[in-house]
Amino acid sequence: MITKNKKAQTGDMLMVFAFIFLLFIIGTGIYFGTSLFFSSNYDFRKIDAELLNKKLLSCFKENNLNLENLESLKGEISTLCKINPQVVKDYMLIIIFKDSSIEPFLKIGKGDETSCLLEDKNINFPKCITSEIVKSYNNQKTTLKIITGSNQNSREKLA
Amino acid sequence: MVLVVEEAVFKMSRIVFFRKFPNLIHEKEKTILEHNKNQRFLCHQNMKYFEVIKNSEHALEFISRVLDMNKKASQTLWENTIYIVLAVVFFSTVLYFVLNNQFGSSFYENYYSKEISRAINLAKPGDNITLDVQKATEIAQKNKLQSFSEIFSFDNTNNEICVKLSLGRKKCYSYFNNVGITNLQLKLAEPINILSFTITEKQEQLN
Repeated sequence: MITKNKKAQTGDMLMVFAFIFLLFIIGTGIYFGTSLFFSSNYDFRKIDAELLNKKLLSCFKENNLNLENLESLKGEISTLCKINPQVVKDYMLIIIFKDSSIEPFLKIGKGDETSCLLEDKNINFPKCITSEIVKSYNNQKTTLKIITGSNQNSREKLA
Repeated sequence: MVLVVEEAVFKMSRIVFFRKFPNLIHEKEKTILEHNKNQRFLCHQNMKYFEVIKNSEHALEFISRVLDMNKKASQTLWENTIYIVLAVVFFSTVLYFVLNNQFGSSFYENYYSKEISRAINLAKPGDNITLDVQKATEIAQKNKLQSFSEIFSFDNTNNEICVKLSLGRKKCYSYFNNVGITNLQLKLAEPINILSFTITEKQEQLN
């Protein structure tokens, strides 16, 4: 008699999992329903990367940036190109390749070329834009490959 | 009903106790008689019960049965409490999520912060930017935001634009263009609500 009662109690306790499963189903339904209805996803990363790329390209065209010294180039990107280095470090990516070099000449921010190439495979990888520019330095033509990326999403803060 | 049963159980428990330790009741009764008339009355009441059922063989069995019922009731209460707590937590989360998305405030916070950052990224010092923010003000009004001036805020130090369309939270987005924002104005009913600001050279240089 007592054993039967205990079995019944165990069965009764197991019903909590059914209850949690029910809540999960309801929650998922509400989440997807609301997300679909309001379509809260507004991905802006590609546009951000494009804007940064255009700004860098025009800056390279308009100014004779010092490509010999890396630290000097970083400073000039901040001062002459008016690009905030902290924002780039935190949320964006700039990679510059000189001529046909495999190693990047300059890299600021999170991520690398591989993560850019795999942007379609993983939503968490930055969205990137690649462009090229040919500049003449000391009567020598230098090809610069500029890769810019963005992995910035809007951040929610308490107000 | 429950109170009556509990009272009965309490009294019967005392009777069982008194049956086991008759000396104690004697001592206790003595003390009570000496100190308090009211207590004395209660003691006599208990004694009456004692007299009534002292010979009953079913007294202990009855008490144990009632106590067992009480235990089961306590267990049921505990199980129900777990269900209720889970349900409350779940529905609070759902309510928070739905309220956040009510009137599309979450989406429009995203939208405005990103579009304004795009406008700033494309701008040059000296530019005046004017934007239609009619929809944002409508949502803010529906969400009972106290002042329209809270909707848009710029952080020139961190190059950040924040948009607040619902109470208690805002969404922020950074712009990489190293410029400052001044002369921020929200003009109402001209004929629609517009936001205007001026792009200036940034005062301090970041490392």
